Amino acid sequence: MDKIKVAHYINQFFAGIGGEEKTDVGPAWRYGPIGPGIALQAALGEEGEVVSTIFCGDNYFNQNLDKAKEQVFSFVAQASPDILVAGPAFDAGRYGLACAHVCTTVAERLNIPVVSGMHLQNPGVELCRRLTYIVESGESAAAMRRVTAVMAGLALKLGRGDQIGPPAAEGYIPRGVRRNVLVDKNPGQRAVEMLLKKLKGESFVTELPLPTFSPVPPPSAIHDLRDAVLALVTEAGVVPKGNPDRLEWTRATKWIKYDIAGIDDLTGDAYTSAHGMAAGKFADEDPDRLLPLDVLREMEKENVFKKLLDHYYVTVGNGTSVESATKYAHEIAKELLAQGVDAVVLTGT
Amino acid sequence: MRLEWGTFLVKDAVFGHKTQLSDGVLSIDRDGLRSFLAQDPNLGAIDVEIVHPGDETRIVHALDVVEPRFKVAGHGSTFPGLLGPPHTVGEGRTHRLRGVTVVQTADIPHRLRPTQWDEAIIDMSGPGVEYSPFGKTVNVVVGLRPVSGLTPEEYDTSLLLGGLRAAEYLAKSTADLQPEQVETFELGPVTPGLPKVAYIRVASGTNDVAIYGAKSEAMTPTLIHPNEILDGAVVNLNWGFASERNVTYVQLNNPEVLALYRHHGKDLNFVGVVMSGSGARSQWEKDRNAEHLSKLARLLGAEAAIISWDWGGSSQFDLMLTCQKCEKLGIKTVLVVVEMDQSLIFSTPEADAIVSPGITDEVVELPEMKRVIGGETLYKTGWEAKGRLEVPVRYLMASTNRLGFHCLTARQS
Repeated sequence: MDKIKVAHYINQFFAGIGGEEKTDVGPAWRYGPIGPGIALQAALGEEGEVVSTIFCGDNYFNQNLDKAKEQVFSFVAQASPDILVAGPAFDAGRYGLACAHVCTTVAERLNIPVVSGMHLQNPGVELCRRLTYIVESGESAAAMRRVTAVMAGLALKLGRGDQIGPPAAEGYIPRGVRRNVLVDKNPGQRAVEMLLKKLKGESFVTELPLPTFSPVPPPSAIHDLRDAVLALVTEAGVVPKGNPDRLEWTRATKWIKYDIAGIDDLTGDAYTSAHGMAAGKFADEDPDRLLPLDVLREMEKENVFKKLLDHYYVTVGNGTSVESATKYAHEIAKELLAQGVDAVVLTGT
Repeated sequence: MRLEWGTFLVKDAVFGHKTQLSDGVLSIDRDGLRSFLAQDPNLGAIDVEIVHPGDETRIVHALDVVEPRFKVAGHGSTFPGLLGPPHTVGEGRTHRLRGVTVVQTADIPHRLRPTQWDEAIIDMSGPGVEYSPFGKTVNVVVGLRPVSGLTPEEYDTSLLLGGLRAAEYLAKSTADLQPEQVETFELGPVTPGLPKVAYIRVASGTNDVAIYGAKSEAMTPTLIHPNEILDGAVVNLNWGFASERNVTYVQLNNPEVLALYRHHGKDLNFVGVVMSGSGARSQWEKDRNAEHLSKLARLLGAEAAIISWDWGGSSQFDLMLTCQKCEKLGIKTVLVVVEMDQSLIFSTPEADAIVSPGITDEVVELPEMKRVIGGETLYKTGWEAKGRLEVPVRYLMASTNRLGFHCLTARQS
């Protein structure tokens, strides 16, 4: 079997270019392993080969993010590796962020496995954990040899296409990805066993830990609504009849904005709902039930508020992950702010 | 109430001149079955095929999977309320064929499709087998084509009854035979001191199940004897996401009921089932349903309950509210919750014990098959049904069904 080809990303310090005074250097690459790559190569042994080392100054990377990502990506792609290894970055925040950006870009665009090493608290973890096997490295670079050995082990397994065990057994940080596993007993049997333990006060482990959501503090109240610009935003899937932009009925992959300037009422002839659960008779009879344009227009005429924004924003919340919804919300909110919107009527199903 | 399941193990099914079971081989009179189903004037063409584990065959457009059943003794009928009057079942003897199923398939015209109508695949070989409880059974695939001009309700009823009738037809052949195994279900008195446990079913949609033949829309939560569930009082009406579908086979073999029965008298005292009929739409209804479910469980004297939940975002609230109200009444709970990418959008801290029947969003690769039954292209995507497919587990019939009939779970990776 051919050796598994590994590309290795490190920063300017570990590449031996220099410390804090050299963090502005741009991306470059060399054949073969450098710095921590030597230990990585030793751990890979005969099965894998560090074919290329790509490095960049941490400041340069973070301050020229798009450009740096593109340059580093082209150096990685040029080596046509089977695997990318980045770091370990330990608790170095800027280095961790650079590793995370390199990992996600390479995973998404080259579709190869990516491995990194970071301290759990490194800000890079959140950025790339879903796509990256991040070995928990601890804070200190003194653990370099141990950490690179674990990273090399994962890289080889991924390169061979082996099954990767659970996070605790393999030493990586849970990716937040859940996978199906076949077990001996069905959920009914498991539920009874768990219940008996709970009844006896014995310890048990839930199979689905409850999610934690970050709370969104509401902004302060609007002093006088008569000066306020309002916007309509909805997850109820209200779209022009025929759903021209093909908004999905569930697990929406996008948000859309539609012009409503000069429209006082949404009728079933012109609008419908794409939402899997809200679509149907009640939506088609009167789409204002989902997006109350008629009432807002009346209030606008009565000067209850200053003006309604000339378009509304729509997505579908049905089955859409909180991660996607958060992203859409940030994008929509940014546009609303730029247009001087003071308040939003947000309708859900 | 004492129910006997008379079980016949079926190793194989073949077409023959007469429908009969001998030496574990079910012979099926294909024309006899067709003409039996043709008693429904709303059914046009009827195709019957047999597929076996290991065949390079893919079933698509599957609606439901039914275990062949025939009520040989006792009050009521096979599938009461649908194939007979709505008389209480759960007593006497019912024959069941194990290892063989009836799978209805139908190519539903677009205008007649209910909102929740999704592609459902059963692969008989390859990696898909592990993901469906019906990749390892002999499946009698009944392709049904209702005549044109029906209302959506008539259309659905013909498809539902067609599958149930086929299942009864096959099992009826054992009416005069002695089953190999007899299992008895009875909530008799147990050793005092064992904890009393109820099973609570929180419904989700308005048309998920039929209880004694009736759609359970807006039904006030009610008590039901577990034997009624094991004897066909509840059948599936939901043709939504395939993996989460609690097909009739799963309803008849309800895993929570069976597990509680198997512990009954040993380390717990199974006291009964409480179920809501449909998902609540308003806050008022959610509150009412959760109040009723927890109150009825308390009426049964339950100290603990297993709570299963069907599907949907809105009804997660019903589930969690029921859990919370039970725990407040001192009824300890374990929940059965199928996972999506975003598993829970709402939860209560009392929900500290959850069992997961798996995650629906994991993508699996299914190889090209030699034969496909049920249709040529997949619904919605239009992909060639026979070809290599890369689909979420969501497409695979009952793989992560919400009652938890299959042995999957999801783990952090």
